[in-house]
Formats: sequence, C-alpha cells, structure tokens
Amino acid sequence: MTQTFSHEEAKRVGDRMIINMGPSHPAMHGTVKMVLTLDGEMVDDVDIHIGYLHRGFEKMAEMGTWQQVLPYCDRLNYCSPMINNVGYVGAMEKLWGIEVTPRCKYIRMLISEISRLTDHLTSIAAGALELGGFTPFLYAVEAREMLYPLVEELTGARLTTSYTRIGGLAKDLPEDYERHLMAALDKVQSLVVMVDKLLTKNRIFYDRMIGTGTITKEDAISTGCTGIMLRCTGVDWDLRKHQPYLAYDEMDFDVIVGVRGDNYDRYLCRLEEMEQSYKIIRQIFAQLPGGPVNVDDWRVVLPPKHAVYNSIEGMIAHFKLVTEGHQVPAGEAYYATEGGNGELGFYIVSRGNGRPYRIHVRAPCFYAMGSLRKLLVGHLLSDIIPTFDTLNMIGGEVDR
Amino acid sequence: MAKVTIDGHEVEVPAGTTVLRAAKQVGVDVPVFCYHPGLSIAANCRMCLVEIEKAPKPLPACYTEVADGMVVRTRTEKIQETQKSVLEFILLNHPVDCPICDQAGECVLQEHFVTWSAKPSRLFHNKVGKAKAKILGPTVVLDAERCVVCTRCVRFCDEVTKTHELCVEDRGEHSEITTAPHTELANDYSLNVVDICPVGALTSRDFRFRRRVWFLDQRDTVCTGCARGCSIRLDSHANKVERLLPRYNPDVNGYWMCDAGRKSLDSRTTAPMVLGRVPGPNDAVREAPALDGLRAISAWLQAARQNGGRVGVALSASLSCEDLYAWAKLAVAVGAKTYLLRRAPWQGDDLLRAADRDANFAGAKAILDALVPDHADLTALAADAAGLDTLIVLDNEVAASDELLEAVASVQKSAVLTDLAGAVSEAATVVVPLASLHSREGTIVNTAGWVQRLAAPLKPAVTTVAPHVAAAILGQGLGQKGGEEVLDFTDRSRPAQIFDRIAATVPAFQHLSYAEIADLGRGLTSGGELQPRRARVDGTQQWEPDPVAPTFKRPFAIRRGA
Repeated sequence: MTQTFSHEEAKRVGDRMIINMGPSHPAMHGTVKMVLTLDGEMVDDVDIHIGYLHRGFEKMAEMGTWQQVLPYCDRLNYCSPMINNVGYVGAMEKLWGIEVTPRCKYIRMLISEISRLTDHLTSIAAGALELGGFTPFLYAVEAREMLYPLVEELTGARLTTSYTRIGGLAKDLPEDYERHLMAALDKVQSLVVMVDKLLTKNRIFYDRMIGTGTITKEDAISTGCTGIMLRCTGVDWDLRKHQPYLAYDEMDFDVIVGVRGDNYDRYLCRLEEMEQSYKIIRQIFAQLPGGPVNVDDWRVVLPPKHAVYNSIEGMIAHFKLVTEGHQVPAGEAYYATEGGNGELGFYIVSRGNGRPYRIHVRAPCFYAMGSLRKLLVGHLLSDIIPTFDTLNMIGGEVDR
Repeated sequence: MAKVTIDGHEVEVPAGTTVLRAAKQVGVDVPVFCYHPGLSIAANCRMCLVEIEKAPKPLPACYTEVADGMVVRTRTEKIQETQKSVLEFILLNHPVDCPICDQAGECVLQEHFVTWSAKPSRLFHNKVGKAKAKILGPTVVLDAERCVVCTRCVRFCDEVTKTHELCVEDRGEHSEITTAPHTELANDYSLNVVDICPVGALTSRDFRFRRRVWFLDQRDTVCTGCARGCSIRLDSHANKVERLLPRYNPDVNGYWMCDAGRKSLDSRTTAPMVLGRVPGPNDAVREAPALDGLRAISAWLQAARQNGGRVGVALSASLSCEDLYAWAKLAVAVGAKTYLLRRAPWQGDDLLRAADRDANFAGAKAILDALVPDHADLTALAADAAGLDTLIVLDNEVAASDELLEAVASVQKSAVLTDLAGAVSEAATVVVPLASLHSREGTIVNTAGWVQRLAAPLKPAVTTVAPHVAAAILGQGLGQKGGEEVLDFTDRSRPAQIFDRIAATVPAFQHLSYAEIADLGRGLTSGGELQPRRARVDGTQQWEPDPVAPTFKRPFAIRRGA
C-alpha cells in the first residue's frame, strides 16, 4: 500500500527522503502532485495525487442544456479540443439516432486529425523541452503555430473551438480552406522533419528515453490504457480502425504500434501517427463530399438566422431549442472517439428534458495515470520526467 | 361499450366517448388547439384530425364518438401532412413575436409546431396585421395577431360564466376576437380566458411583461381567498408571488378560479408586511423580531398563571388546522378562553366563490369543538374584553372588525400575531410578525369538507415565526413538560406530525394521513361517514381524474443556486 509520509516521519525513517514533486512543478504540467519516497536517486515509492485541476465538468454539465455544455468540452483535453467536440455531440446523436451528413462526417474527421497533430506536437515539444532540448521544442511549437491559425480560421478560436453542433457543425469550411491548410501542412511536415532530426538519434535524448517508463502489454490492458500508451506495447488497437466511426472506414491509414512499450517507443509512435494524420487529411480533401453540413431538421439544428428573424416558424424552432434545449430522448448512450491520448468516451444519460441528467467522460489519461506508479517505482528520479511526458497527462481531462 | 383500435392499441371504452379521450387512455397523443375538457366541443382548429377506417376523409378526434370496431390511425403520412398544413395555415399570419410574447415557453402553438411540423415558412407576401394591444376589459388585453381563433375564450364566457361578452368578428384571415357591442370583458372569472388561451393572444394586464415564464418557480398549493379553497398553482420569482393559476381538481374547482382569488393572494395588492414590536422602556415601543414578542407574551402568560389572571386567545378561522390545533392546545394549557374569529363574508356566487371567506372554517370548527368545546365568537369576545387581563389575537387578515379593534384596545396586555399590517395590530401592545401566508405549511378544509394541503411555496422572512411554532415556543415557556402533551413543534417540517395528532384526536379527521392529502386532497368525514363528493363544477358525472385535463407543461426552469 502506498503511504504518504510527513517530513517528520521521513526523518525518523532516516535512510529515505520524502519529496513533494508538484503540483506546481514545471514538469508536472497539468498540475499533479507526486509524493516521492526516494532511496538516494531511486524512486522507492510514489503516491500520485490528481485533482488539482478539478473544475467539476461532469457536475456543471447537469446545470445547462445539451448545447450549453459543449463549450465546457473544449477544456477537457485542451491540446485537442475539437476531438472532444466531436465525441460529445456524437454521443447525443447516437442516443437520438441522428445520422449526420457525409460532408459533416468528413469535416469532423478533418478537425479530429488537425487536433491529433496539435496534440502530438504539444506532447513532443514539452517532452523535448523538459529533457533540456529547447531547439526541438521551438520547432515543434512553431509547427503547432502553423495549425492554430487554421483552427482559428475555422472556428474563431485557437482553443475554445466549440465547433461541432448536434446534427452538424457551427459552420461549413471557410473559402480556400483547403489551400491554406495544405500550405500549412507542408510547413508542419518540414518542421517535424527537423524535430525528428534533432531528437530521434540524439544521444542524450535517446539514452533518457530508451528503456525507461516501460509498460508491459498486460499492465497496459489491465489498467485500461488506450491510445499510444497501449499501442506502444505492440497491441494493435485504434478506434478509428477497429470501431470505425464517422467515415474512418473509408480512409487508408495504418495503426502504429511499438515494440518495447518504453518512452522511446511512445515518442516514435507519435511521430509516425502524425505521418498518418497528414495522409488522412490529404485523403479527406481528395474525397470531400459536397452538400450541407447540418441535418435538415429544425428540432436538431438551429434554423438559419434569416428564417429566425423573418418567419415565425424559424423563430419558434430557435426559441424552443435555445430555451428548452435539445429534446434528446430519455436513455443512455456511450460514444467513443480516438482522442490524442486514446479512447475518449462520453457516457451520457438523458431524462428527455433538454439537459443532461448525467455525463461521464472516459478520459484516456485517467487510466494511463493509473498505470504510472508501476512505471516509476524502482527507477531513477530523473526517469520520471520523460515517462510523465510521454504519458502526456492532460489535467483538464483527468480532473473532470 | 365499444372496442376501438387506435394506432394498433385496442381499448374498450363506453359508447359516446370521443376518439380523443379514447386515444389518451392508450397513451396516444393527439394535438389540439380548440378542445378544452371544461368547455363544449367546437372542432374548429382541425389540429386533431385523424384517419378513421371507412371514413372518406380525416375526422376531428375531439368531436368524433367511438363506434364498435372502429380503427383509428393518428400517425399516417396523410395525417402528418394534414397536421403540417394546419400548422402552416395557423402560422401564416402569426407575428414573429416569441421574444416579446408572455406565452412563449408555455405556448401550445410553439409546442405543436416543433412536435408536429418544424417545417420552414413558404410565405412570400405580407402577413395580415391586426390590433396588437386591444383592451378587452379591466383584466385582459388581446393581441389579435397572435390569436388562432380557437374560440375557447368565447365559449368560456358563453358556457361557464354565461356572460357572453366575447365573440368573433369578421371572416377568414380577418377573424378577430372582440367584445360584444357596449360591453367589456368584466366578469368575475375573466382571467380564466388568459389561462385557456393556447397562445399569447389573451394576456393578463397584471402579469403582462412581468416575467419570462421559465424563470418562475412553480408550486401546487391552495387558494385561501374564500372557503372554496380552489386548487391552484403558485408561480413565484425571487420569493415574490407573480401569478396564480387554477389547477384541475374535480372535487373542488374543476378547471377554474375567480379573479378575486387571484388578487386576494397577491402580495402586490395586499397590505404591507407587519413589523414586530414590543413595549420599550419609558412607554416607548421598540421594533422587534418575533422571538422578542413571544418572550413578552410568555412573561404575561406566566404572570397570569401565578396571579390567576384571565387570558383570552382569539383565533382566526383562516388559520391552518395545524396552527389551530397547536393554539387550542396552548389555550387549554394556560386555561384561556378561546374565541373563533370570522372574516366578514363577501358576495358569493353559484360557480366557485363561497360567501364564507374563511378558508378553513370547517376545519377550525371541527378542531375547536373537539379540543375546546366552550369556544366562543367575536360577540362574546367584545363582551368579555373588559374582564380580560391578557388577550392574544391570531389573525392573518387584520383588517377585521371594529369590535375586534375595540377589544384589543381595551385590554391592557394585548398581543397580535399577524403577517400583514393593519389597524388591529396598531392598537396592540405587542406585535409578533407571522410568516406570510404562502410560507406556511399546513392543511385547510373547504366549505364542502374537502381537506387540502398548503404547500408553503415561498420562504418566510427571518424575523417571522409560523403560528404553530409560536404556540410551541410559548408552551415551552410555560414549562409544559410531562402533562398530557408537550408542545414541541419547533420547525417547519412539523405540520405533518401535528396532523397525525389531529387525526388521533379530532373524530372528523380520523381516517386521514398527511401524505394522502397530497395534490387533490381528501374528503373529511361527517358523523363517521365519508363526505359525499360534490357535483363536479363542469357538470359531468365522471369521478375519475379527467384523462384530458390540461396539464400546464412545466417550462424549462433555470436553476438558481440551491
């Protein structure tokens, strides 16, 4: 059993040192606290405290209408907010039995892949930085900065996107979006090549990553790890491939798996998954269907503004949706997307009164955090940094 | 009996039942605008059209009576198309008013449109304009553009009040509700037309533009304006009454309530709240919260007990059974003479208004007869006043009579417990502010012996006290421990327990329990027998709860804190 020692007790033990790492430690991004019991440089025990970023998302969700909850989702995994948007509305559409339009599916895939890129870039950038590599950090963040203006062009915001709507999207792609995105993507790719060159065969980076933070296949499965934490052990499991949602079954891409399950594998998986994302994005634009992005039903999607202001029909539909919320029928549904860190699932319960009765977020990092102690105990204090980096904990997601 | 099949559900109903009622029994929802169970059937809105096998065209479900072997379909493609067309016609000239319309949020038209149509407008020319704020009378304003001409209001005035003020003028899309020449809508039940209006055409001049309906806290309670005790729904906002609506109760008020009832309970139209007061040093008076006043009264009662002084307790017949029981117990404990105060009667009518204005006279009489059989009335109090040392008056309508005022003024130690300010409390030595009428829980018995529960929809002010709590505090001051019963009802949740004691002591209440009285109430026994049920207000002989009684949909309420 993990014990937390006070400093007085530590003195009494004599040969061990107790250190609080975090919650405001620069490497504990997302605010998490680790109470370390150190035997010299070795981690004898670690007690991981989450909850420092708890905003009560799930409870807050019960206070608003279905639509009012959407903006809260942006703040779950804030490195890939648009995947959260896709997952949240997907759950409602599943419960309601709504089939979104083909164009909407493709655009939702597009924003998911853009978000996956920003997520992986953030993870690699922060990891490199915390191991002392400021230059790769700048390259990776610059690549991310190529994408954020595109997110902004699409949604009006870099992080607080709230781009999806029940039954569709807030708006269609802007004009010339493909050209802008492709131009940015080319730059991102060349910058990631630089990151690759700077890190992958870097002696210092390699030594600190290889063989550290190793997770076994069995541990990853038993703690409920998904995403890269699971795939790095060699398990071929990606929801996009194995439980295809949206139109991922029409996409040609590979699931990237590791061999050793260590930090280095996770880093390589991220690099390679970005390659797959470029591939998917290019396919999306090659096959992008025309037509509307929203379903044709005013009970689901707000009427266009000219109909709201100029006809009673549009006014009533708008009024009812806004004041009473979407009349999602009573029932329960679970809908999962492949998030930046793994299976991001929304379990929703509706009582049919226009607002969530209960929402549970299956946050991938939460399960990864469950496996973290085993990855750290018996290893060097300095190994905590790369392990915690490649696990890529996002506080907003762990602490709902 | 006739066996009918409605959307695949078989149901056997008495001959003469309409298709609409039969459908409701099997849970099939047929939309209506003009149909109202308390009024005659007009079948003019065409919203309830259904397909009946062997009938050449769709028939209105509200009007068509069932026949044996009838097969009804309400969701066929043809009917769905019909409903969309009906809604399109109704909305054709409907103004884009939802943001400024009082009905928005509880509007049948909004509800039906999103449920049954939700299709865009195809209108390409201008809408027909009509009067936007036509004053129909002292209480009601008409927005003619919003009207769907269902004629519920016209039928209400023709059939329920029989005053015939309203009619429809002109034809087709120019149809407009108006008052008959040289009349105005000024009957005693006029505000019911606002309740039954399915849209925002008829609005109450009182409630108009005051509050968006989804901000209202809605609680079911009972009107205490007269001895009828109509079942009502009280809508409040920020602890203030915003409006009262009748709640369907076949044993008391049917679908309606009177205008005076709505006004009598409105804190905006009644007297201001009373301020508590106790005698200060040097003959001055001091404003004081309830507990200070009760302390002063407690001292009087203890002095009276030691010196053998004569005490009188005057109780209002509008208090709840629980309050009366607690005070009757206290009066017995201090050996006080008990008087039952009545409000001056008003003009009753044969629809709902009872001439007797005391909301709980039947209950008060039953309880006092059982506990203090020698209780007297106001005339006796006026006669006795000179001989009394201490007089405690409990009355929530202090505007009472000159006799009461004189009695209070003539007694040296006089205390008035009340919620509203008035002349009687002015004359008293001690004034204890009581919790306002809508913040007291309890039961009342109407003129026909029907027991209903007051739900205390509002929160009481912190300086006030509930009447039964006041009795408990005074009882404890007297050290009434041991004895036959300790008066320790010290919090708001206690009326339920007090009611159990009433049921145990007062014969008429014997078969009742507090939980059973919820919603629609229960009948009081009279001489061991259950009170026979009163003929229903709407004249029908059906005793079961009306399957098509309009349940006001509770609109989406914004939660504000705990």
